[in-house]
This record gives sequence, C-alpha cells and structure tokens, in this order.
Amino acid sequence: MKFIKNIFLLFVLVVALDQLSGIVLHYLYFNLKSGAEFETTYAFTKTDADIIVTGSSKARRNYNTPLISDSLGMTCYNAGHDGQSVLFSYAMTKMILAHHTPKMIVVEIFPEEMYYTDLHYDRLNILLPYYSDYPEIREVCDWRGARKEDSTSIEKRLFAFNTEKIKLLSQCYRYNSMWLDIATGYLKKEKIKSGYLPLTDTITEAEKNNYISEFENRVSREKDRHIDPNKIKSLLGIIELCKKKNVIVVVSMSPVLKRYNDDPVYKSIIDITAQNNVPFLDFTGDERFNHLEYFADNHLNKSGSSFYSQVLADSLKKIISSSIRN
Amino acid sequence: MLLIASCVFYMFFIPSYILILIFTIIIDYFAGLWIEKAENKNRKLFLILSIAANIGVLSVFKYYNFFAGNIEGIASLLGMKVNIPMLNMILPIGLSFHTFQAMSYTIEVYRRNQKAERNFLLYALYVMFYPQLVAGPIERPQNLLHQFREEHPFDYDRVVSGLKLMLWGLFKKVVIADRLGAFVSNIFDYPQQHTGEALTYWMAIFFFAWQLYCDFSGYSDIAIGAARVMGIKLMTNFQRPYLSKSIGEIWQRWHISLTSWFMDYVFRPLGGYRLGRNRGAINLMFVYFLSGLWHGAAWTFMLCFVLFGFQLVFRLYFKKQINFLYGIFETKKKNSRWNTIFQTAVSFILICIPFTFFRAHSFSDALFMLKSLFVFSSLKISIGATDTFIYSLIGIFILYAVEIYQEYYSHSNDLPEPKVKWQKFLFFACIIIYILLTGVFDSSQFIYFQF
Repeated sequence: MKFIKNIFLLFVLVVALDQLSGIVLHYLYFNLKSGAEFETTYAFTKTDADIIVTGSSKARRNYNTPLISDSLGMTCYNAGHDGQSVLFSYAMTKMILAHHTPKMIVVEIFPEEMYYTDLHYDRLNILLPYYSDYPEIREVCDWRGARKEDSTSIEKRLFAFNTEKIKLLSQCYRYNSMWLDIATGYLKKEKIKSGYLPLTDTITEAEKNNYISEFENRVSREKDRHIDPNKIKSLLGIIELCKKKNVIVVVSMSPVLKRYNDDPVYKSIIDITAQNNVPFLDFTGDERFNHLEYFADNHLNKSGSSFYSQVLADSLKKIISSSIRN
Repeated sequence: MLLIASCVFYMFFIPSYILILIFTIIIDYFAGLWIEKAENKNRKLFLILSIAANIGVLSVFKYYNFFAGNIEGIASLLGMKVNIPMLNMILPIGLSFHTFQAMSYTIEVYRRNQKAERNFLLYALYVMFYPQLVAGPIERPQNLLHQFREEHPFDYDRVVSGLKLMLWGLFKKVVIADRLGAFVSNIFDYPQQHTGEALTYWMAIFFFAWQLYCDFSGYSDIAIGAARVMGIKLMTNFQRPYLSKSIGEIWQRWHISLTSWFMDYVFRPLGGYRLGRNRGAINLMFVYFLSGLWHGAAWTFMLCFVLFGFQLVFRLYFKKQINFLYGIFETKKKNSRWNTIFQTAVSFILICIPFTFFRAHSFSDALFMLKSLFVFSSLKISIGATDTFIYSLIGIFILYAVEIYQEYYSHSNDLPEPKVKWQKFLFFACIIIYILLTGVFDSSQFIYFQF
C-alpha cells in the first residue's frame, strides 16, 4: 500500500512538473527573437518571401538568397536547416503553404540525403515543439517513430512499435535537447535577414581527398544502404502540394566535391521530376564549379555560393519567364 | 512465469533464434546431470562435450565469417584464391553472454561447487533470465540458481532501491552515453577531418571511454535494478572503474562478471601468477587475447585487449618504478588528494588509448587517431554542436559528482539523495524531468548488445 501510494505521488509530481516545464518552455520557445529555433519558427509561420529555398545545410550555405533576390527582383528566403533532409523540407513546405503562397519553392537535394539514415529521423526532433499547434507536420513527426519497424537493429526489433506517440504525451519531451539553445537564444541579438549563412574557409587538396576517401569508406561500410521511400514520398509530396497551390517548384542539386555518376539517386530524381513536369537543375557535375577555392568542405564557401547563386538565378529567371508564358 | 517472460523478451528479436538457445540449454542441462553422475574420465568428457557445443554455436554465429575472411585474406597474400561462402545472418542477441553463463554452470558442476539442476525449467531460466540475458552480468550458478527456488516476498526498500538503480542506469545511458556518442561518432567516423587538431582527438578518446562506461554500466544498472525489483540479486558488474588508481584496479572494477569469469575459468587454471612472473605474464596476455576475441570477431577488438594485457604485464615488471613516479606527487600525508587525482588521471588516460581500437572502424583509422594525438598543428578543438558538447560536459560532471560521493563519502552504491521525504520525491521527479529534457531518445542502441 505504501509503495502504491508513493509511486502514485511520484507520478503526480512528475506529471505536474512536466506540464509546468512544458508551459514555460513553450512560452520561451515561441517568444524567442533570435537563434536557430526562432529562425525555424519564422520560416514555418511568418515568412512571406516570393521565393523560398528549402533543404539541408547545403541549402543554407550554398544559396546566397540576397543575391538571388537582387537578380530576380523578388524577395527570397533561405529556409535550409543544418543536418536536415528532404523530410524536413516536406514539413517546411506544408507549414509555409498553410499560411503563405510563395511564387516559387526551390528544393535543394544533396544526393546522399536521399539514402536511409536514422540520423535524419532523429534530427526531426526540431519539429516536435510544433506538434500540437500545427497539425500539418504530424505526418512527418509520426514517421520519426514509425521508421523503427523496418530496421535491423536489436533495440528496434525489441521495441518495434511507435514509441514516439507515447513520448509525445510528455510536454517536456517536445523540447528535448533544446533548453540550452532556448536559453542562449535570449542572449543572441542578431535578427533574421535572409536565412543564408555562408562558410568562409577554403578547402585544401588534401582535405578534399580525405573527405572523399572517408565518404567512400563510410559508404562501403553501409551494407544495407538504400534510398529511403519516405524521402521519395516527401519529394513527391512537396511537388503535389506546390502544384495544388500553383507554386512553381524547382528541384536543384548544388555543386559537390565529387559526383558519383552511377548513384541511383540521380535516376530517381530525374524520373520523378520528368514525370511531374518539374524543372530539375543539376549542378553536381558542372565543371564551372570544379575549383577548390569555391568549397569550404563539401559545402560551397562564400565566393562559391555567390557564384553558384548567380548561375542559379539565371536558370530560375528562365523558369519563371517560361512559366509566365505558359 | 519468469521463464515465459524471458522467452517472449528474447523472441522480440528474431523468434527462430530461440531454437539456438534451447539447443544449448538442453545440451548443458543433460551435461550437468551426466557430469554429476559420471566418474573420473567421463566427467571430463561430458564437460568437454558441453563446452564444445557452446563454443561451437558461438563459433558458427559469431566467428565463422571472421575466420573465413581471414583465411581468404591469408590465401590471397600467398597468391592463392580461396572462396569460402559467407553466412549472411544477424548475430543472436547476447550470444556471448548467455554462452559464458551456460559454460560457468557446467564448469561449476564439474568442480563440484554446484549441484546439477534437476528442474529443466529452472535451469532454462538460469540461462534466459531476461534482465541479464542480452548483456549480462554473466552470473554464476551458485549465486543465481538457488534464488529462483526461493520465495521473494514484497520488500518496499528492496523494490525502491531497484527502481532507483534502474533510473540511474537510464540516466547514464540516455543523458550521458548517447549524448557523448554524437561527438564521438563525428570524430571516429571521419577521423581524417580533424588532422592536426590533437586536442580534438584526445577529447574524442576521453569521451568514448566515458560513453562506453556509461552505456554498459547503465545497462548493467538497469538489469541489476530490474532483477532486484523481482527479488533476485545479481552480481555487481561495475564499481566506479574510472576512480581507480591503477590499471590493475580498473580491471577489478570493470565488467567484473566477465573479468572474474576469465580469472576463475582460464587464468587461475593456467597457473595464474603461481608459476612465476614470466608464466603469469603469458597467462595474462592469453586471457586478454581471449577477452578481445570474446568482445568481437574483429582484429581491432583483439588488439584493444592485447594492449590492455601489455599494460598489465608492464605494470607487473615495473611496479617499483611506477610507484616511484607516483611518489613524486606523494605528500607527507599518505593518500593525499593530489596523489589520488594524479594516479586516477594517469590510469584513465592509459585505459583510453587502447579503447581507440575498440571504437575505430578499422585498424588504419585507429592508428591514424593514435598518431594524431601527438600532432599539434593547432590548438583547436572541434566540438561539433555546442549544445551537444555542453550537455555532454554537464553529464560527465554529474557522473563524477555521484561517483566521488559514492566512493569517498557514502562508501556505498546508493545515489546521493535528500533525507526529507518531500525533497526526496522532488529530487527523483527532477531526475525524470531532466532525462526527458536532455536524454537522447533516438536510434542509438546499447554498445554491448552486439556481443
């Protein structure tokens, strides 16, 4: 009896603390005025730009949105997010189209991101604060828990059910691993400009070779490497949503250190874009960018991203004018 | 009931693999009975049969591909082309753990330290008891079997202490180990990305040592705590190893159930230190080689443990000189604080270096990292995501705060907690909230599940 009473008391205390902390964190999170969390909320709920670039760090570092904006005479916002993939772009597109209809959405795809990796699902935790207030992103959040079903790891077989919904009963869990960022967000002063965050370093030949050999080693270690069906679904979902809202959608691949021509991702993207009549701009093998001085690592640096954005803007201009003609 | 729960738990993984377990259970059950009944030579024969069956299963599932790959490699070096078919199967969960536990049963029956178990279901439960089935502690029949026969009436203090231990284990796993894992993976998966940043590599090997400890001891705490809730007392598996003052002490406090297994069943029967220092050194090296082999079918694991063996052998031969060096920090007061800190730090650093082979993806990656520890082209530390790094440091701080309290103040394994009842409730509620806020609830799994 004593045990049941004490366990119940502890449970009540945990629930109360959880709810209270959840309310405080919710307030603090959604009232941030700078920092990565604020930028995500801004992109999700407030951006009203004509052109929006979505994607991973490749989008954030490689797309000089002020330059694109100047070239096209349209406002342009970079909603790329470090460490994310097309899963996040899908959630982002859903959120943006729920409150705003831009003229164009550019979806940056890095070939490697189309492969299944747990990491991309783990990193979707940044969507969790929006889970209860924004039903648009729930589909993607639910994939976070459901992906465990087709996994081979031991724990995922032991717990082969969607634990995410159970975890989401906790208010605190929605802000898991964020309290430090929320706290430091209040110390930061920089305001949102364009979302573009250039890198300044320049890669050396040795660093490039190291990068390529480590990448190839990693790929050779991944025996079950396969294109993630959810990512294909996400790309198709973005295209479908944009078409419904009459938004021009462009799939773009920015320059990389090395293009692997036999990578099946290219064929998948070419097929999807061709079938849906979506422009696909592939700069991964473009010789104009085959210079070390344009790269910081596998991302472009400031000068590389400016040059790339200029080239991209010219292509986008043609796409916009052809769409106006049609 | 416990046996059914254990079967269900095991079958969550790959249901058909339970047949492998049943196969070894049947063999060892009858081997135990026959060893007890038989006389002289036949006793040994049945023991060998039982051990051969266990090692056979282990060899097929865990080592077949490794040996086949090595034979192919050696043949190709000699200019021959050998094509051995590889097995494409997932390693049964916790195979090395329950195999060793099963072997300890037949060995103890052989040594007449344990009576053969007549009840098949009880023996099956001894091998399959689910809290320790997948990652230990590797129990001995004298400690565990009789407990399954006894009644375990509800005991408030015992259940609460089990739950607290489980909570601390969960904390170590999700708040510390998995958080450190993010930083560690960044460096170990791409070792050449940080060339010249020696401090980054030092940080990576330190973080991995803490990650491994929190991951494995976290699991052990959960297992021991869960068993305690049910009234079963499992052996201690970790006793704050990173507060040890020598390499030898670390191994007395690290994965105690495996270390003592090798000591009881391999090292001492080979003569231990009794046959002189040189023979003792050879025995030690052999045990650590086997320990490496137990951990995984890869040369990196073996080299890691062979290096640990070398460290111990070095200590065996140069104990006086080592003590002289430690004496530099000795003050008038014996066991002074500075001396303790110095010895603890040196032991920790020494243990971290071989662990590089444990974590590295390949031999060449590990060598590259070890060389990089001494290439100071810059004093930069690539910490990756700042928040992850800070969460990691907070976790390590909490770990040391708790363990220093346990080691030097409470002299027990209890968590430091307030005395007043309502403060106690608040304290544990806050730990749960901190786990929810800072724990890593993603795809990472327990490192030792792979063994």
